Amino acid sequence: MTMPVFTISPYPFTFLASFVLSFLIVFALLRHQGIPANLIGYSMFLNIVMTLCGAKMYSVFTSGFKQNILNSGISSLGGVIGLFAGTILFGYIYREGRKEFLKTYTLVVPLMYSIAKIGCYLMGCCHGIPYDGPLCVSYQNDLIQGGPYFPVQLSETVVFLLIFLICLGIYRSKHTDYVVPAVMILCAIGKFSLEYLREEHIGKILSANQWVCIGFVLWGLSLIYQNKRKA
Amino acid sequence: MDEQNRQPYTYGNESEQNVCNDKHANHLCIISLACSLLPPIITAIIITIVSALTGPEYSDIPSIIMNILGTIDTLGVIAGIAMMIYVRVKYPGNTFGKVLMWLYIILAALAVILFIIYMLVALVACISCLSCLNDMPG
Repeated sequence: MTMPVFTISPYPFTFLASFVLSFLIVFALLRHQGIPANLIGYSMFLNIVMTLCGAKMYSVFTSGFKQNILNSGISSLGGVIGLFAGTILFGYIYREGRKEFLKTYTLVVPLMYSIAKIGCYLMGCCHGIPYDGPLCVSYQNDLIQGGPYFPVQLSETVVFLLIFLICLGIYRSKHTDYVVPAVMILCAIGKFSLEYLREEHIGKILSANQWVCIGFVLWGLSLIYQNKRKA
Repeated sequence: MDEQNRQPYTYGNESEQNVCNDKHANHLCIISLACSLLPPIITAIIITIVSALTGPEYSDIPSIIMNILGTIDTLGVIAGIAMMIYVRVKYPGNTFGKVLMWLYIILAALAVILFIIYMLVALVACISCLSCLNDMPG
């Protein structure tokens, strides 16, 4: 299949959709926990800024400061790191609801990522390895002309949506303390594995994204260890 | 001391506490503003000085320094917003904090509006360019 050329870039729409849908879920879940609406609003304001800055700054850092904050690309992994940083920072400001905020924002990370990746699929950035099997996709737009490629972005959308649903189940169960490590470990494993299906990974043993994933797995395991010690 | 005599003292203490809190919140708000505004101003001054030294075009400035300065500006804005939120959570009655919050919200809304205008202008330019190319003979 050849992807049609879009007159308007779908990135802003998928980015916006990922924020709106995820933050609506966050709002509903936190209100259900009895957190005041104004505090949820402050946390959202901080997290929107942190996610956008994280998405841009990750690209600046990984380019070795060859790009700047204005002309750098948007990294979804950087956005996730920014969201985590924002949630942890807000946890220091409002200590009473620290756990609830961390759990709820972490829960929606795979959903945000899943929706944001639809934009990448439509535009062809972060495309997959050359492949001509079922669901292969070619691009003929300003960004990329080539293909057919493996639809790795679509795979990420499906995998991360499944991770979100699994973690939503954990959130609703009595093992709610395991939501944060479960999201971290599952997302890191998903992202780590799917990186091998990206064309830019060819010739590398481990990419920068995979090193970050290893960090997330270790962090998740340390959280499980902490939870077990407390229990 | 009977109850009637104790009350004014207690009120006085509370009021002193409020004034103290308000002062602390105002200081935090000033720090927040400084975090958001000072780094871009310092960056602009550095660019002006360096471009004055090197000529009208500041392309001579090593881009890596510009990129690091841009990152510091962004970190400053984040620190400013975090500080404002701290004031709003800890001192909800502080007026400076409220004004600062609305200032940041208006600035964020302006940034979003400018981005939408930029997208629309880019779209119009693309459509005009495409129609121009289509109209070309041959």
